[in-house]
Amino acid sequence: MSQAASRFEINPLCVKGLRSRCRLKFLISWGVIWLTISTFVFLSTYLTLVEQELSSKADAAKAALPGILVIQSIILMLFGTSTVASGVAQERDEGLLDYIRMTPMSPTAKVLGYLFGLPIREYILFAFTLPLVAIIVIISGFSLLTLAHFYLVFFTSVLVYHMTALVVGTVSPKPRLASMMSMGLVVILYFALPNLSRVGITFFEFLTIRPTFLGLLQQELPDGLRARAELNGIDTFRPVPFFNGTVRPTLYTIMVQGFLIAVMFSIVYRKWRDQANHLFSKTGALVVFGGVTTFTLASIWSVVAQDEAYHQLFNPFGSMDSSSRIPQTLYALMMIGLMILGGTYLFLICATTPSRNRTLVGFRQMRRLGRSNIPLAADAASSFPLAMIMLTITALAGAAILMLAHSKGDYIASSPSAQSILTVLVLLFAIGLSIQALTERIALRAFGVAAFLLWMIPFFTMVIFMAAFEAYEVGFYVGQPFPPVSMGLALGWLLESTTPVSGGDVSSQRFLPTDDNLTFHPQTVVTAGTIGYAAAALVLQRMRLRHRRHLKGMQ
Amino acid sequence: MIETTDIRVDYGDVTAVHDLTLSIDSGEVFGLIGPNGAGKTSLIRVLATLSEPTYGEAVVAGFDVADNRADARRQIGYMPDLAPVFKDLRCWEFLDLFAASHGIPRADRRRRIEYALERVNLTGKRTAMAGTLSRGMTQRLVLAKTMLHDPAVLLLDEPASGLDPIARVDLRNILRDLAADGKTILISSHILNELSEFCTSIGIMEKGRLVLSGNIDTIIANINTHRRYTVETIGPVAAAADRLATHSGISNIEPQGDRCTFESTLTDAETAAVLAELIQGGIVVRAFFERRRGVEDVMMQVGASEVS
Repeated sequence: MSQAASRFEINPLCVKGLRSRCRLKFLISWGVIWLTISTFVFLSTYLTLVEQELSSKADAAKAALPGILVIQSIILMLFGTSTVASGVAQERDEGLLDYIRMTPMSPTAKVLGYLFGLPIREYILFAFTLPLVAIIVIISGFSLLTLAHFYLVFFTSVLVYHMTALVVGTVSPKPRLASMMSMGLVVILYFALPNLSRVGITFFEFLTIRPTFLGLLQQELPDGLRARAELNGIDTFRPVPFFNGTVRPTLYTIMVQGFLIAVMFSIVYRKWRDQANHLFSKTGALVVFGGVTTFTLASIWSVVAQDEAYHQLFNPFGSMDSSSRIPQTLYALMMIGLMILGGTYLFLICATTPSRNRTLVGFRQMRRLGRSNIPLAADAASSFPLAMIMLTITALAGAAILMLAHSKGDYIASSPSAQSILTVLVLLFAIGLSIQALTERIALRAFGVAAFLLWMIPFFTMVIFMAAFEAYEVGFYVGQPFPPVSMGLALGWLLESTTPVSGGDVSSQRFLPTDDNLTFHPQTVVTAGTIGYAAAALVLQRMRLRHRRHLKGMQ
Repeated sequence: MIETTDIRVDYGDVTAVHDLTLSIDSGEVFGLIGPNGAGKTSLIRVLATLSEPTYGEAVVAGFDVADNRADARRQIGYMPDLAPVFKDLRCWEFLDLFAASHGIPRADRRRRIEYALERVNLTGKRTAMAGTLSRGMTQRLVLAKTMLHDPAVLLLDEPASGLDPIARVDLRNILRDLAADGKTILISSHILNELSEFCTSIGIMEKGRLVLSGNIDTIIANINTHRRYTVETIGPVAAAADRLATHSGISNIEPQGDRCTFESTLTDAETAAVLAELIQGGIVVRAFFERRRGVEDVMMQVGASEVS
């Protein structure tokens, strides 16, 4: 054996996974189960089509491929994800993770060890199904290049799923909860959010293998399956609009999934360094917010700027005049962008705002070091500066889209009024800073309850007022505490303050509800909501500062 | 070998370790004693690089645990309270995982594993699943893992908790051997008298503070300036107590049933004379012995003074 070969070591955590989860009895029993199911799926499709003379042997073999891919997805994405989440959570719960923490392996080796070691049985079971894929390729002459291309994206998706599970397992308090949380997060991240691609936020779609699966493989599938995919409007494997240009779909998938993997890796790294660390450092949170803003802005920008992107989204069947646009779509795009950035803001503020105890520890450390204040980037520092930067980025992104829409001339013919711009800015910062102050002043769990009571009760009341009594104006007043309502109304008012574009349907240039019987004064409602939120922000920020001063004085 | 300077560990309002300064020399076996919640585990976790102190410095085997974790970890063997194991690994696989994680070359690993198993008397359980071991064997297996990479410092958090008497004796013997090999051992325990048998120095923690530390013999000698004796008689002990009270060097006489304890400043010869006097006086003495105070008494004394 050469010296290099003798020095080569498989990651010890992968070896551990191999030993503990891949004993022969487990592999035989699980292997028989999955091989039986896969063989059944293959033979039932292939033999039925061939024996019933419904298609050629090559097409019948191709038709069996999606079923095998679904089984592979179930093994790796469903079972593998659950195994990673519960495995890490269990080791943490029992104290075994401390042993691993204490070994001098590099953090990267530890993360990779868990990432591939825990679901190693699933990787082997996946390999058990590969002979069937080989048979399909031999019979059908399926393009190996296409298949390799597909599996590249498939495995980056698997990594994203397993990384999600690793994060959940690292932060979740109990193993069973970790398994459930990881499955829930997978459903949200990879099944629910991708639907946002239907309203212009392309990047969520590329968190999944759907574009590649339906876009790339369908080129090779028999006519029947291809036609069904086309009927469902599935044509996502094409250059992805990105600002004024396009990005190749595979590259885009790797960009999006790579970003997510990097974010999750940083979470695991921080948590393994010290379990008490926040999910993100202040700087890390800013990078994450910057990344989400870039992807969101690029998607919305491309729809506003590029005719092809616009028509792919809002006019997929080409029924509209190729040069015309509906101005209201600008409002929809901006609201969706705002919701995504708002959700990200809320998550990052919750993840980086120090608890009372953490702040107290921070002040004690500073006193010891003879400093008067906690460094801005420290976990114990206030999240106020971070909130200000994220809110400024959101405002700038909104301004960029408005300026683009104005210059494009298809949505608005003038800039919004100065009063409406100022009002929206004040409202945005007031909502953001209220949230920040509240999270810092009270415990995170209490914040969740407070947010539900302060946001959802007014929202539900608003819905009742509007649906049952058709009292829209009263409803909007009542619903102002719920940020999507107040921001939605303010943004609509801002867009209505612009000059409509000449020509086209006038009704499509209204951004707020209209009805002849509706006596509705958006400006008054928005102003009232803004004043209310500004007052709340001032009071809560004052409370926050007094609280910090109190903690600073404690020994 | 272990140096801490003003270590403080906070959990919000609760201060688990309060400005603790400690020095343990190379080759010492240091017993960390204290009631539950005294801060022993918090201190050990800081030394083991598993949590960061609020402030203060900790240096283990020459490496700062905050600034130089990787090097410090190579020198530390850590055994937590209620030490868990990977239940679905065989004993040798469990050890192999940590040998590989510490970068021990494959060629050397088998020998080290065999040696570690032999040292903790688990050679016969080499291929047994770790999850099937008894509590005592599990503790020994984790101890084998702890010393596998030949660390200079062993941090053992309550290694004897939950063990039956025989397993405790086994564990004590293993630790005694390790101490004889020159390892620096910091061991926390509430099985106090067992610690006194092989610790070279002790530290007593109370409410996060190190209230007493030093060489164990010196500490025990300091509290044994008054020797304490017990005399047991057949029949009532009152007559013996009366006779003892006539001696000026004897104090704190506590008769109870057929037993009487007292403190004495008399020499050995004088004490022997007192015993002879009792027997000649017609008192039927069943037993007469000195009870030297140990670690437990030190802790009770310190604890009582802290509370008062």
